[in-house]
Amino acid sequence: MKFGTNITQNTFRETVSREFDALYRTAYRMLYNRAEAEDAVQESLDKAWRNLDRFNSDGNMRAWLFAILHNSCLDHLRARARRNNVPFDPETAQDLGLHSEEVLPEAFVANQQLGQQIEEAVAALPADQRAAVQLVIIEQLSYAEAAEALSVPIGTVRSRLSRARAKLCEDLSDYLDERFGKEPPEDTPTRLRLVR
Amino acid sequence: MNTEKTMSGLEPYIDDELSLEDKLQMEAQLKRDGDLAETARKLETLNELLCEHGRETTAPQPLRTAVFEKFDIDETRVSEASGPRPGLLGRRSFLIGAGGTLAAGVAGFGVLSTLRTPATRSESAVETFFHDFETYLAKDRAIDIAETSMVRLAQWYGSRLPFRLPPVGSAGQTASLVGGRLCWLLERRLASLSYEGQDGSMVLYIMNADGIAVPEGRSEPALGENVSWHRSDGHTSLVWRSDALLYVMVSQFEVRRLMAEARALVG
Repeated sequence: MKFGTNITQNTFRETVSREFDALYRTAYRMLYNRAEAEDAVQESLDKAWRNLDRFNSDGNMRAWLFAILHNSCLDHLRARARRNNVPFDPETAQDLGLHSEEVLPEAFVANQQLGQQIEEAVAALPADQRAAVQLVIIEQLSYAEAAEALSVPIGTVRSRLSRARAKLCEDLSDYLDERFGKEPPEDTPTRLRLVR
Repeated sequence: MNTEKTMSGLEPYIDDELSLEDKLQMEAQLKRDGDLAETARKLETLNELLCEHGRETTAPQPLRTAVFEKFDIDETRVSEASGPRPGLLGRRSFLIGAGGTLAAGVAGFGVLSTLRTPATRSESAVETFFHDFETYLAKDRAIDIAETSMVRLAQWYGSRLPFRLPPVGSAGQTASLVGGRLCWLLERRLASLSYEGQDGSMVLYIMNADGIAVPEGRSEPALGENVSWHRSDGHTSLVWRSDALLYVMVSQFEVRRLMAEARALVG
């Protein structure tokens, strides 16, 4: 059975190939469980493929895929909440087993301690704030794309980001102070000086 | 812009979401307000930390293989398809250059860990930059930001890069800075600085060198270690490593001239 036009199929393929790591990372940081993240990615791409006919050809395939993935992750979190017999609320994450043995991905070789602290700080955020951080700061979606992916207004994305940043600044204050406190050498470009 | 508006505009400024007018106002405000500038630096540093570490995780290969097979996605084209992030920069396709056109000296230039399959390891690193340069020319020298000031361009890169942009000049011997692009090549974010002269263009790519094997080359005090050059289809690339960064400069210029331009830019 054929889903979508050749053009949307090609757009789908191009977007998946380009965003595959980003999709996986997003699922991983929503669920903090590799197997579930893999399931969520596969389920969401299956669903997107089956629904290519519904994709507006003028729309943003990237945001659309992230939206489907986000919903799939929320389904996984709901199921986990049911298994743990706790109410599901994306504004809380503490009771959903996110702080398990899988909090630290395998990749932090260069600076494990910092990597672990960052990962733990992100994992400690409520799911809705974590998703905003993942999409906007890490994967660099625009506010509009993130709003579409999360099915919320842009203002909500901004407020979630703002709350998340406040919490992250607090949790990572040691490292931020360390980096922030050092004056860059004289010949360093002025990217952190913000005075042009 | 009042104080409340200034504060509320700070995060969108850090996230590059402000209109040009608001951005200029914010920058003026940052010059006047030391506390606000400190907050901005802190937020920008947080963005850097998150971006730097948050992107280190990649999808497991078995998952990638299964999904790509299922949807008939050509896995070998991933690196070419991994162009600039569309969210920030607009969708731009990459031309696929002719394969196997590298000079013999390039054969040793292999990627240790950034490419996924052994079959692509030995040829893709240098090719990628030639291809991107060809695309840059074919797309009529499309850039993400037109900027002749390196200070402002470095500011623009800001937290978009996972490393601090090193000091680079805005003018070489005959070519001058015209702007920059944010590229996603070899599975990493890199700066691509475009220079134009009367008789040709050159692009300087700068990226983290971790995981990339630099070909054997000579030491060049003005540039760095392992300086080597390569030719392909009338284009020249100059590759060197300095500190933890890898520099690749590609141009239509011949190697002697490209070397002189490179020395003028980073020497």
